Amino acid sequence: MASADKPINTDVPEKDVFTLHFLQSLSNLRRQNTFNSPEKTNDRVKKIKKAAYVSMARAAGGTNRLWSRALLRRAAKENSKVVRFPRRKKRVTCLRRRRSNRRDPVEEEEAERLRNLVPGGGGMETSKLMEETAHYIKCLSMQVKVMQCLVDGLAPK
Amino acid sequence: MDKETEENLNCLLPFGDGNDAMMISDFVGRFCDTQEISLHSISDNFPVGFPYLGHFGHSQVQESNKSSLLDPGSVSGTGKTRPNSRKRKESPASNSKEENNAAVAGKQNETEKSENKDEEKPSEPYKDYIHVRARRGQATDSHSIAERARREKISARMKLLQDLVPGCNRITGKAVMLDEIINYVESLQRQVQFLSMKLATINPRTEFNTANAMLSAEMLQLGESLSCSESRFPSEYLPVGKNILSEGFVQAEAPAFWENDLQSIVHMGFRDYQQQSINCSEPTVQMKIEPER
Repeated sequence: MASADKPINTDVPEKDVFTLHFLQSLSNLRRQNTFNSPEKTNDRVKKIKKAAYVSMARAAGGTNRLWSRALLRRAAKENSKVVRFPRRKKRVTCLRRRRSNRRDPVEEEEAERLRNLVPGGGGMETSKLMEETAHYIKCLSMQVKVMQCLVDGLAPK
Repeated sequence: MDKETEENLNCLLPFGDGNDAMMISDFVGRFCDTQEISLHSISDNFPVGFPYLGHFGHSQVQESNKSSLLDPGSVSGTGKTRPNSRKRKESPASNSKEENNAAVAGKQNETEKSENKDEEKPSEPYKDYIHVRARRGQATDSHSIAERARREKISARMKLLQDLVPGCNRITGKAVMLDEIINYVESLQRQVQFLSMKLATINPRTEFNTANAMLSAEMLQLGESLSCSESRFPSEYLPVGKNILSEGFVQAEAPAFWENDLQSIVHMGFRDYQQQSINCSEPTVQMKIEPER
């Protein structure tokens, strides 16, 4: 059995890191598209949203976190790009969910819903899922703050 | 076995006759053959083992004692003083026997248990599994022990999540807590969606170069936040932030003249917005940008 690790690490970098990544991705978007052409708003929304998530994943942990890896992999698949993951010491990705009935049926329903929400949740055990959720929540709230600041700064008078 | 040891063993027996001593000395001898443990350490064991002879019948306990004495010896050659009271997560075959003993040991005092655990833990740092002592009145099945460890892990993480999600201090119970967590994650994701929609609609309306405008606006806000934080936190954030800003944006946007504009904006931001709050809903930000262009 695994040894007990006492400190659960859920540190999240500062606001500047998130802003930096987000703005870089947005400026990339600018360079790709010409905004003079009347684009459908929906497409733009989707692109911005995807850029937001990808930049968040990169800012938050890169490939050190399960959810960010899953997010980046999913995004790369959509763009048909190749994402290179550096070799890790621990085998984090290949954790198969064991088909044993040691799970509490009451909490597993909720855990299933959580798995659908958090990227990469499908392959995690419940305890690992909760760690990842904690980190994900922190990063999401940071990203929301950054975007809110941006919107407020750019809002017309 | 010499007379002396036999006598010792006989004395240690609270009940039973010489036959018991023979059987015990037999497996003590076996034990001594495989391990190099002095008689004193073994005799320390026996007061632990012997009270159970009366409760559970002789042969059964002897077997379990034997197995427990032999098994820990085979794994670790360090002569522990209380090997029969240790429970280890090994092969299920040895597990069942040790669990009997652990069940038996579970009836001991809890103080003894806790001090055992203390003296065992520091002496085995090289083991990579947890030695769990069966608690009083609880099942000692290996599955249930693992289940309990897992449940404790999950509850520790639930506590962590409880601190993160606002307004969940009163709620106890896993199901309700998980509902709250799910709602919170959903609401955050919806917020991201909403804000990205807002950003998409805002941007084409600005007349001037959107990239520059956004970056400079953001610089201002970051400048605000940095300056506000400067008053509260130690000033090491400020040079770090400046480094990030200068390095990052040189990378993002090429033109050199733009850097000077940025510097001036940032300085203006520092001077004028020093007193204002970190909450960056400032309509006056726009006023500062336009004259620069």
